[in-house]
Amino acid sequence: MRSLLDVRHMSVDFTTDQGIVHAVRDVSFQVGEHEVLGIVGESGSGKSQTMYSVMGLLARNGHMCEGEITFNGHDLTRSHYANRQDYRKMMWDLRGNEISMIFQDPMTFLNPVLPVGKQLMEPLFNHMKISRAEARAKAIELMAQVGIPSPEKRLRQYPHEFSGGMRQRIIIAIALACSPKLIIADEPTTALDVTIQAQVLELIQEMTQKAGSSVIMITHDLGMVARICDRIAIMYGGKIVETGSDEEIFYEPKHPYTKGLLSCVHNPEKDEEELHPIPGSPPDLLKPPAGCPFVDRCEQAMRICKVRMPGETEYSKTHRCACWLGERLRREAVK
Amino acid sequence: MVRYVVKRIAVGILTLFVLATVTFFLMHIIPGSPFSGESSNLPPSVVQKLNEKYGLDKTIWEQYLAYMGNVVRGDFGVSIYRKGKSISKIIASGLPYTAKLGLVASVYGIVAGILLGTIAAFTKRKWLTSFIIFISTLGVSVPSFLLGVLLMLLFGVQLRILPFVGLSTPFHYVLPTLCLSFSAVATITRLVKSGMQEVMKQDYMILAKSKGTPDKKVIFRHGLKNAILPVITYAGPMFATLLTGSFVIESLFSIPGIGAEYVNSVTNRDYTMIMALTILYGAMIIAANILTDIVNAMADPRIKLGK
Repeated sequence: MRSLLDVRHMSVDFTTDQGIVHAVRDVSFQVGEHEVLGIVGESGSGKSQTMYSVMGLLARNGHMCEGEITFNGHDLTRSHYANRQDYRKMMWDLRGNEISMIFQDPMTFLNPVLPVGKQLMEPLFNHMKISRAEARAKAIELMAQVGIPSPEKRLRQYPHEFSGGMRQRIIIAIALACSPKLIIADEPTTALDVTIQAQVLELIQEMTQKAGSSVIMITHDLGMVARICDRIAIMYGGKIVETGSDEEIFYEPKHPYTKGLLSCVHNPEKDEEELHPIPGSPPDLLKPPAGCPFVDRCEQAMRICKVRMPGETEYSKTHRCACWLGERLRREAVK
Repeated sequence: MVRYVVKRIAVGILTLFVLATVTFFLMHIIPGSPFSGESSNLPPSVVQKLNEKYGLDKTIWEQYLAYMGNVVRGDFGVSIYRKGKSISKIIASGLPYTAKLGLVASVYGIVAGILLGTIAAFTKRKWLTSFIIFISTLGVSVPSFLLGVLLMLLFGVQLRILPFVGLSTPFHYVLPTLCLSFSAVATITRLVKSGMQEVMKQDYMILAKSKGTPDKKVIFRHGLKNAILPVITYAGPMFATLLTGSFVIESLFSIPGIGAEYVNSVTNRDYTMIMALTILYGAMIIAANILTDIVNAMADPRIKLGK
C-alpha cells in the first residue's frame, strides 16, 4: 500500500507561562490510501496536536520543533521552507482540498454570524473555478448527502438554528466538499448525544468511502475504533506506544497501557460486574519522564523503565510496541 | 420587526414625557428665576410685569399644563433670556452646525477606531501596538478642553496650518472634530483590539483556516464581523452624544451650535430653552438606542427583536 501521509519523528512544543510543554514527542506514523487509521488516547495525550501540526494549524504558541511530514508527494515540513509564504500558499491550496478536518465541537466550530450555506460554499470557492449558482447547487447537494432535510431552506439559516447533530453534519459536509484524499476526524462524535453518535459515525464512514478518502480517526472511544478502523495507534504522554491492525490491538495487545485501556471497556460477552480503571494520572508534559511515560501507572514497571525510553519491538509487519517488557521477552527468546 | 419598532417608539415617547415632567418640576424647585441672578438689579415692579408676561405668576400646575399642552402641539415657546426669539428658530440655526460636527466626528471615531484596533491586534511590530494603546489610553483620559487648547496652540498658533474659529471651510472642521472624536476613537480602538484578539482564539477561525481560506480573508470574513459586535453597542449612544454637541468644544472653537446653548440656558434659567433642549437630547438618546438594537439584530443573527 502506497503511503499517503508519512510523519516521521515529529515533536511539538508549546510555550506557556509555566514553561515549555512537550505535547508530542518523536511520533512517527503512516497512512495508506483508502486506509482508516484510528488514533486512540486520553485527553492530553497529544493526539489532536499531532493532527493540528500536520494541518499547519497549531495555536500561536505551538510549533513543530522536529520531524518531517510528507503528504502525497508534498513536503509539509514548515522548517524546510526558507520563504514562509511558499509554505502558506501550499497549505492554502491543500487544506480543504486534499486534506480536511472534521472537528470535535459542532457548537463552537461554525461561525455564528454567517449563514451555513456561505460557510459550506467557502471551500468550493477556494478550490474550484465555480460560479455562484453552481456553488449553491453543490452546497444543496452536499447538505442533502449528509442528511439535512430541505437544504434549500436550511442554506440561508444560521448555525444557532441547527441542533448539535445537524451542525456536525454541516461540518462533515464542509470537510468533504472537495472530496479530499485525507480526512482527519478529531473526536467527531464526542460532543454529540449518544443516540446521534452512531448516525454521525456511519455518515462519516459512508461519505469517506464514497469519496475514496483515507481517514485518521482521533478518538478515545475503543468501540468506535473497533468498528471502522483498519489500523490503530495508541498514544500516551505525547508518544505512540503501540500500533497494529485492529485485530492485533484487540486480541494481542502488548503494551500494558493498551491492555489497561481494553480492560476499562465493558465486555458484554464476559460476565464481569466491575470495570477496571487504570490507577494514577498521565504524566506532566512540562517535565516528561526520561523513561517510559506510563511508568508511574504500570503494574509491571521495571527499573530500566524509569530511566530509559524503550525502543520499538516489532511483532509483525504492522504490529509495533514501545515497551521494555517486549524487549526483554525478545532477548530471552534469542538466548 | 415593525411591531417591535412601533412598540419601542411608544415606550420612548412615554419616557420623554416622564423626562419632561421631572425636568420641569426640578427646574422650578431650583431657587431663583429667569429674572433673578445677574439681572437682579431690576426693580420689583418690572420683575412682576415680566413674570405676568411669561405666565410665571401662575401656579406651577397651571404652568405645567400650559407648557405640556403647547409642546404636544409642537410649540416650544419663546426664549425667556433672548427676548422674542422662538426656541425652534434658535435650535434650527444651531443644530446643523452641531450635527455636522457630530456626524464627521462619529465617522472618524468608527473608521479610525476599527482601523487602529485591527492594526493593534495584528501587527507584528510590538512598538506599534504599544503606541496605539498608549494613544488610546491618552484618548480616554485627557479631557477634551485640554486637548482642544493644545491642538489650537500647535496647529493654529504655532504651525499656522489649520484654522480654528468657526466652521466656514472644510479645513475648519479638522480640529474640532478631531477633538470631539478623540475619546470615541480611543474607546473603539480598544474594543476592536480586544474583540479581535478574543475572536482569534475562537474555534470557528480554525475551521475557516482548515478550508484553505487565506489568513487575511479569514480575519476579514470570519473575524471582523464577530469582533465589531461590541462596537455597535457602544457606537449607538456615542452617536447621540456626539450629535448633541459639546459645550467645551463649541465654545473653544467659537461654533454657534446647540451644545453651548444648553449650558448657557441652565446658567440663565432660560426655562423654555432648558426644557426644549432636554427633550431634544432625550429623544436623540432614545432614537440612538432603538437604532442600536436594530443594527445589533441585523449584525448578529442570534439576536431576535421583540422577544
